[in-house]
Amino acid sequence: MEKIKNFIKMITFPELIKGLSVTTKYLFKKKVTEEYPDFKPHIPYRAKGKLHVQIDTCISCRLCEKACPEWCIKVFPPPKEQMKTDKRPQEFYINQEHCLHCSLCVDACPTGSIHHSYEFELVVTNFKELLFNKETLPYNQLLKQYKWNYIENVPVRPRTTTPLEQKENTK
Amino acid sequence: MNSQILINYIAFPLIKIAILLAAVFTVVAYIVLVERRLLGFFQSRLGPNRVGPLGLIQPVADGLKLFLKEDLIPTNANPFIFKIAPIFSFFPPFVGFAVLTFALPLIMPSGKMHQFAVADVDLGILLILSLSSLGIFGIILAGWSSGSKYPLFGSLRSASQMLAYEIPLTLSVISVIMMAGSFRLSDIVTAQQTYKFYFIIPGIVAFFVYLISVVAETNRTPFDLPEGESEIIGFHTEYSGMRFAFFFMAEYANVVLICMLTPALFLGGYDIPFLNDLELYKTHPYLVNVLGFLSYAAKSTLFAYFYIWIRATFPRYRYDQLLKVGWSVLFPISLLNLFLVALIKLFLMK
Amino acid sequence: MSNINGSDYPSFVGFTKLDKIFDYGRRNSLWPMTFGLACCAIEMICAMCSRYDMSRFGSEVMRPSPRQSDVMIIAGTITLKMAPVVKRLYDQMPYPKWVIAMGACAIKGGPWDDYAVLQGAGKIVPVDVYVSGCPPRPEALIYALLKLQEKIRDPKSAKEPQFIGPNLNEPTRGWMAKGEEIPEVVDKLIKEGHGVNTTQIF
Repeated sequence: MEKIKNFIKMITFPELIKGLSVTTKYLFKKKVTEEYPDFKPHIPYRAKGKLHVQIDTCISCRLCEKACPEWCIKVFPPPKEQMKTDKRPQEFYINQEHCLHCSLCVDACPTGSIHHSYEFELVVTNFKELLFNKETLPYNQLLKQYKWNYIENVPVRPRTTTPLEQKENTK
Repeated sequence: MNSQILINYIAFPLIKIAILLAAVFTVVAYIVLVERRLLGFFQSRLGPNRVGPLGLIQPVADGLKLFLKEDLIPTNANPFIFKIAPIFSFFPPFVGFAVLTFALPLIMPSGKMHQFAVADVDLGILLILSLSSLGIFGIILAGWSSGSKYPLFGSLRSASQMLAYEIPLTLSVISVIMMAGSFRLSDIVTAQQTYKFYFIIPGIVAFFVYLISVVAETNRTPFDLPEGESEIIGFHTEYSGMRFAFFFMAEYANVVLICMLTPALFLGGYDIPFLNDLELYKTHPYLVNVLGFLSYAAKSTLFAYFYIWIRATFPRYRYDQLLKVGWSVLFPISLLNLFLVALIKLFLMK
Repeated sequence: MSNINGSDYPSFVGFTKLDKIFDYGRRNSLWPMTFGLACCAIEMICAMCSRYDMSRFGSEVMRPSPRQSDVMIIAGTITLKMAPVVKRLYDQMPYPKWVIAMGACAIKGGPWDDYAVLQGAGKIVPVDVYVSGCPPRPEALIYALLKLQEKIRDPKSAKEPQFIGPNLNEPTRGWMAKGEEIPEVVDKLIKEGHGVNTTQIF
């Protein structure tokens, strides 16, 4: 009996038929492709995109500059006399060329004026366009020419809560 | 008298060749697109759908790009053989289409019969077999003349693979020829129509052997060792631009040729299933022509789908496994089957 | 009826340059090279897979041979040992050819400001499109492909940067420019025979 079973197995190739049936199943299944440039892709909650600075709340403390392991942030504080009244920086540069999106600057900022946005389309034909200054930091003007982008409503990534903070909140 | 000869022997065949070549080139271009889209569907994605409606202009874009690409000839290469090798593998499959018959003969109002074939020669199947082995020359020459070791290895693999699978292929085709009693492809189909059963029934083993060895013969997955895109580098590594496109088109022309040959041999070709064709042909000849051609096209499409399906499913064979399957499994099976079919022919098919 | 060069043509007759049709073919079948250097290659594989299907743009045909590929996606860190190989592979590609630098390492060395890493792919090959990120999302790579298609369609769109460079007293790091000379170390390695031998190829 065993021998007959084995012989039938040898002739009918059940493994091959199984494999072919799996591919047929996927032929008629719904496709998982997100048609990216036409439809909004699903961005995860903790995705880290382009750095986004609110210049109005910045106090030019240069903590982000020191926290950055890549030295891609450069802050120019205002002159000392002006500093007493208006602490907004004179100039603020972020070099997205070699930014690692590690969010150490976000953690260092005392006023929470630097965040990651969900903007990921940092694609340029000249690498110098990846250097953002005070004017170009809040909104990416390069992306305006495309059909769909995040310019209209730049989502700001909320600060993540550590488990310890969560515990304190529940208390 | 002279004008009659001119029309019958020069003008008519030329028109037939032009129509056939145009059709074959279109089919070859679009089977690539169909394969890419179907592979996408099998892998639960969409495939090329942006270039033109449903991606229909994709083959045109690919062809344009390949045609305009720089044509590199390595300094180590032998330029003459390097240039001539793609033509060697490009021509055989296209010549093979000449002997295919697509429907029962067309009856003209004057009572003359016209075959639906460019040249329905009486050694048709033999011609296709010999042409398919001629295609190896292109691959071997391409690998050898490239002046690089990887293409040479690829072409050597290809040679031994084709040698291993040519024999079971031919033996399984011979069993069909024995049943039909003719090398002519239209005779093979007519024999299936008069016997009122397809040769797949007595030759089921031959059919499966043929199906496997034909995949190896056309260098398709799971037997695509000569090309081996992803890890083992193939025979056309040094080819760029249009010369590479020749190899590419030759591969797909081979696939189309095989997809049209298989139904003719085993599934009755242009025979319409569940109908007595030859009876109906006496009363409605044109209807039978059209329906027969459609059924032939449907059967060929089925096989084209089957080849894409197995490409989407199976991984590649290891080289020693490939040769082992060829020599020690398929070869004895096809040889035994030949005797079996001979006995069937002798005692059962009168 | 429209009037061109003093003659009348029916309105359905359109005029174009042959180059535009050629560019249509070129930009719609960009075959990338199967070539990953580091972790960005994982995202490149993702871009080819089901969810972010790059084949929709006709560029899923990953060619293993540089002779048949059109676009080189430099995905990852270029170490000095690998730099001559990258340069050689680029030289082996037939014209027209394009380069996408993917990720911080390929743009500017990324976090590796040390003795073993080339500070950006722009030092050895001319880069057409830069994708920022560490690593970039697969969508960003698809966006880079679209940007490259646009560049092929209209090269003027990528001529000069709109943004005027900063006048920094101490720049964060040295800028590397497109077409800048090959750094000495790579040049030395090439001369020693580690990588390109251009005379052999052309």
